[in-house]
Formats: sequence, C-alpha cells, structure tokens
Amino acid sequence: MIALAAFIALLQAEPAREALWPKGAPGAVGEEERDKPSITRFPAPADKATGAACIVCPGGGYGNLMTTYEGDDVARWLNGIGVHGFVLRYRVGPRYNHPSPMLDVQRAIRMIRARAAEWNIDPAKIGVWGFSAGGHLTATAATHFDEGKADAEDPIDRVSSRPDFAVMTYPVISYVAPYAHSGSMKLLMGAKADDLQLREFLSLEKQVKPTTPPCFLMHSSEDRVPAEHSVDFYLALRKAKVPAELHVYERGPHGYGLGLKDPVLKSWPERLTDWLRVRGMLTKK
Amino acid sequence: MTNIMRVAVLTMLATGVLTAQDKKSPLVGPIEVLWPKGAPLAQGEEEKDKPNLSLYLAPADKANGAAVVVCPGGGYGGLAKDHEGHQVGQFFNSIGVSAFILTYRHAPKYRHPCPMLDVQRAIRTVRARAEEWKVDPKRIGVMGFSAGGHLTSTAVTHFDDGKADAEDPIDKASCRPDFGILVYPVIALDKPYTHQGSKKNLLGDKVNDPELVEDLSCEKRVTDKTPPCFLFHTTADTGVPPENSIDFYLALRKAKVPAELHIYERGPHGIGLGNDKFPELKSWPERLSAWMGVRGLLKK
Repeated sequence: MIALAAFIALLQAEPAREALWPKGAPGAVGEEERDKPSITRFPAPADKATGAACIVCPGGGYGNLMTTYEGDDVARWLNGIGVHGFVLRYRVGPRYNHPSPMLDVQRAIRMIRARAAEWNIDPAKIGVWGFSAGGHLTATAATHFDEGKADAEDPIDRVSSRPDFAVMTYPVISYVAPYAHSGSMKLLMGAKADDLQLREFLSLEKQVKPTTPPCFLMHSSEDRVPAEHSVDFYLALRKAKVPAELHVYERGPHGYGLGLKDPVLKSWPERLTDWLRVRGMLTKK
Repeated sequence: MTNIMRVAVLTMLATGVLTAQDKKSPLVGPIEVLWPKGAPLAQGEEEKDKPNLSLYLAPADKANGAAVVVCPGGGYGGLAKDHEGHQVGQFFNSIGVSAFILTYRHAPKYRHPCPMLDVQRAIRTVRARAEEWKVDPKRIGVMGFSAGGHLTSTAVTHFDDGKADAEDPIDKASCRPDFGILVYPVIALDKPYTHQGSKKNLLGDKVNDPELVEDLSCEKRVTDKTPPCFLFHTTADTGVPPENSIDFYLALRKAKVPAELHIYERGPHGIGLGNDKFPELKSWPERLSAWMGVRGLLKK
C-alpha cells in the first residue's frame, strides 16, 4: 500500500517541462534539446503552497548544467516550504554565449509571471536562486531586468523580468576583480572575453542598483570560487541600500548544493527559510 | 535583560550616565581581580580602578576544557554586563565552555591602552591558572560585543608570548588567544562608518592621533598569526554598520586565517544572543557552537 501510495505521489509530482519559446528561442542555432531552453515545473503541494515561486539555475561553469543536486533536489526542497520550484535549463557554452543565458532567465521570470494565475502563483513573489555559474546568472537577473513591453504581441513579453528576491549559493560574481573566474568567463563570453565593456556589464557587483531585489548569499571560506565574489556583491547591495543577508561558513568545498549531507552545512537552508519567512515570502495569501 | 532595560541602558550610554548599571552587577560568578596589587596606570582604589574577571566555570559533567574571555560592549564608556556578559556566560556553560566575563577599564576615567592591557592580562591569567580552572591552555578564546568586539579585534592582533623571566607567573604566559569571536564589532576606526562614540571614548584627547588610529584599526593589523575568527553582524545594524565585520573578514582572508562570517538581514545593534522579536537571530549562537565544534574546540 505504502509503495503504491508513493508511486501515485510520484506520478502526481511528475514535473512538467515547458519550452520558454515554443516557436524557437532567439539566437537558436539548431533544433536539438540543448537549443530549447526550458523550465521544469515542480508545483508545491496544495496544502503547503504559499503562492511563492522560485526559479532554480543550476551551476556548471556556463558549460554544463548540474540539474540534480543544483536543480531538481532544490526544487523539491522548495516544495517542502510551500514554494513552487522551476528548474531552468538555460543555454550554455561553447554553443551559446552571452546574451543567451540572460535572455533565458529573463524569459523564465516573465513566463511564470504571465502565467501566474494559471499556476496559482503570486506574481509579486517570484524569485531566482542559482548555484556557482547559476549564481552568476541569478545576479545577472537581479541587476539586468526591464518592465516588459506593454505593446508586445506575445503576452509574456509584456510583463516585467524583475525577480522579487534572489538567492545566490557560492556564486561567481565578478569578471574584472583579481579573483575573477576565468573558466566560466570564457564559456559565457566566447570570443568576446577580452571585451572589457562586456566584462564590466557581467561583473554584477558593478551593476547593482536600488531596484535590485533583496538578496541572500551563501558561501564558504574554503571554496575555490573565492568568497570575495559574495562579499563584494553584498557590499554593492549595501551601497544601493538593498536588503541583504550573507552567510560565509568556514568549511565547505565548492558545489555542495543544499549541503544536506554535511552536519554543519545542512543548517544553511534553514537560514534561507528563515530569511524568506522574515521577508514575507512564505505567508499564505 | 528586558527590552525596556536594554533601552534604558542604551539611553544611559547615549547620555553618558553610566554609573547606574555598574552599581548592581548582573554578573554572578566569583570575581578575580586581574592585578591584586593594583592595575598598571590605575588612578585610584575604587571598583572601577580594578579590572576583573567574573568566573562562569562550566559544570564538571559538561566541561570540555574550552574557555572564552568575554568582553561586553558599551562604547568604551560602560559595560552591558547582562545580555553581553551574564547571558553569554550561561550560554557557554550550556555547551561545556568556561566563560570569564571581563570587566575592563573604560572612559571617562580610562583610555587606551588600559582596555587592551586588561584583556591581555585576562587571557594570560586564564592560561596561567588553566590547571586550577580545568581549562585547556591551548583552547582559550576571546569574544566581544560592539566596542568589546573592537577590544577582541585588538586582542587577536596585538599579543606577545609573555616574558619568560618575569616575576609574576601570569606575565610568563602568552596573551595570544586561540580563537576570536566578534559580535557586531567596531573595527575600522579610520573609516567613515566607525563608531565615533567608541573611538572618542577609547582615544580621549588623542582621537586624531593618526598613528594610534592606524594601530587600533585592527583590520590593518591582521597577520597569519591572528587566530581563527568567527564574526556575527546584522545588515540592519545602523549603530555599527556591517562593513566593520566585512573589513575584518577580508583582512583575515588576505592573511589566510580561517574565518566564518554571518550577516543576518534583520536586527538592531546590541541584540546580544538574540531575542523573541527576531526569532531567526536565535540561530546565531548555534552557528557559533557548530563552528567551535568543527574547529575541535569542544572536544573533551
């Protein structure tokens, strides 16, 4: 009986994947799976759902996507606190460079907002959460956004791409600082990696503005992507007077995701839950 | 301490009326005077001329050998002995750590270097008497809140090995702490976001002495000999902005000193170990004990 119930629950939870551009993504160079950015929907159970939603951007250095421990696992964890999860499959290098990943995350936010009523989502509680290079994409979404085009033909293009909150876990932030992450930079910028203007545009500590949404940052001092990435972003948020929280644990490698297997790191998602609650994101309407 | 009391104390600190809270100390541990024959630079024989430790020794069944000298805050003009002293002692005892709450000298009667001499002496005292107090002399930390956090930053950057040929056995012991815990600390006396009140109280008429300001902006004094540190702050702290903790954390990073930093979003200055108004902040002492555990400081 239990096995059957679990099986039925699994069937119900079967996530639905939605292509961001059913007629083809802008700049697409083919018709394969990797040419079709998508969001995979993990709805929160009805009895827990708060109306909040969060896009999850897996890491992978802009050359790959870690869609399990930085994707599906995270979406399911979000479901546990009543948040709808959407795992974003964004286009990556070397096949795709900037601006494709940015266009994809912006489109994902717009799509969820445009279809909020259909999915029982509060259009003012749509966040983005990313890991490593996905953290860079999250910081990009939190600093480069627009209100949408009121006269657009596609209803999705009419809504804002500004996230309502952003969570960055061991993010890459800067491509101009001495500690810049060169691996993901080459995959993100391709032949334009030497374009200083572009590097500045994608060094998100330089792009924070007062309208950047509240942010939560998690890093560890031991991470090979140096903690300065998160610290400098936090300082930029402070200058712009954007509410922010920053946790830098001493121990912890790069890429632990939720960290649930580590006796100390496993506490960090609790800090995030508290923060989302304090910010009113988990209050049922 | 209730919020009303805290507001009252803060008001007293703000107005410079500091005597009321010192009359009835909330510290209940036995008192050890740091210099029984009189402190260096002492200007009298009163209570406030005799820096001391209030001993909160861990219960025998829990004691793991770790010890922390605790420096309450109070803008170098007073000491918040309850929520940044007594309550901290109780917290440490609950995780098997012995706490030594430091009553250090402060303004208006005392300026630098008195607070520094007092915390250094406190660390030496605990180390010299480690056996008597069942403390591991290699696990003696220092912790401080606000201005006490500044004093902690001073202790982790200004220390010596002791004098082998000193007469006083306490002077033979090192005053290097084995770890540091900085709670909404005042750090950078040279920056616009410093706490001006603490700076003035600490330096008195030398408040504009550039050499002194530089020496006591301890983010500039961090070396690879600085012990591992844990920092806690809140973004909403307007009294002492979190940039103070960030500066210190970044200096520790540069010197490759192990460090942990937690900056919660909410919570005003002087939150101590947290309270019911900000339930999420009650988790920060857990982060601290987890860090101490990871660093092997809580092993019996």
